[in-house]
Amino acid sequence: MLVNTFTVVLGETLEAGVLGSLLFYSCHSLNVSRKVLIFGLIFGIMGSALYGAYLSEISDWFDYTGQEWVNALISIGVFICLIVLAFQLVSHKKGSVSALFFCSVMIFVHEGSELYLFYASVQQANFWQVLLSGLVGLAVGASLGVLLYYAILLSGRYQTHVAWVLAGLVGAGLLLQASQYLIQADVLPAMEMLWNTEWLLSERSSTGQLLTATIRYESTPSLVEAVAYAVAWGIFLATLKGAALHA
Amino acid sequence: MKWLTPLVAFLLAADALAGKPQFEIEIKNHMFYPDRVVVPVGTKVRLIIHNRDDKPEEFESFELNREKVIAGNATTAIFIGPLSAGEYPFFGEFNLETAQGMIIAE
Repeated sequence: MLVNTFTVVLGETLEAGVLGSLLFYSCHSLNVSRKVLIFGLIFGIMGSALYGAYLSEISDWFDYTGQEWVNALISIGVFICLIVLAFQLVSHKKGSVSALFFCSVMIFVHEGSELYLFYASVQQANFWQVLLSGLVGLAVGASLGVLLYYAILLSGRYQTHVAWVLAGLVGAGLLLQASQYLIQADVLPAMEMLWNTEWLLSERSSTGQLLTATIRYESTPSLVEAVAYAVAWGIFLATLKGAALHA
Repeated sequence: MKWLTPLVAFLLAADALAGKPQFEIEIKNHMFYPDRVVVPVGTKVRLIIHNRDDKPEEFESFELNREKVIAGNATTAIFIGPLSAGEYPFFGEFNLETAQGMIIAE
């Protein structure tokens, strides 16, 4: 098996697996048909193929920063969908089909486009070996999503709390990621790192890679990234407080 | 508020003229050329990356907090810094065995 292929595919699938478990739980809790996620998956795969196929043109936009803009907007879009879902979960309002649909489409466009490009980069000679290694990575990532889904269900009367904490962790990570894309595009200022926890948990270690892929663990954040993370949690907690008042 | 438009235009033009130092890197046969790039300490710089291969590559660096996919036969740009003195490894995620490089801030 090709370790690099397994790692790349697993890295892309893990975040989709965590978000997928939240979407499945939202369907379950909000009485929305899971068909919406299947449609989201289909449109997401089509979107990721389109994004991958036109990546070169998209990257050329805004003086070579188009890719950062699109990725940042997708991350912010998923964050907003998670806020909407968390509000509905806590307030017990009727589930929003459109939030679930858009969230699933954006997740699959985001994660799928990189897999599309990764497979486009594969040499013809070892294509089947790469495909098989990737499928193992995909299976492990999807299994984690299934495990998380049942872990949420098994948490009994705390399931809503577990779901929104998970949504908050992933959502804040997505806003941090959006800030990183905008720093990379020179839209937000790049600053000195605030702290360095590389000695405690390296992003290169297995645990570091797992946390980076799922909740965007960052060992050397700058002030802008830390502010983005804090703002995300602020918005999230304010939304939950508002939802509790509407319940 | 009419004075605002020329002022904004002037500021944008001044920013463009001031510019940022640019450094070019090529990807050929899944390797970076040059594989060591020396940049000034404490200055934001713009890396222009030309992928001369037919296949896509992903420029990634944990130390620089950067990640960007470059399509085959395409050019892109990434801003890095301002950096403290030191070495910052980067790699091509799709070809880890060969695509390795280092940004050196001094």
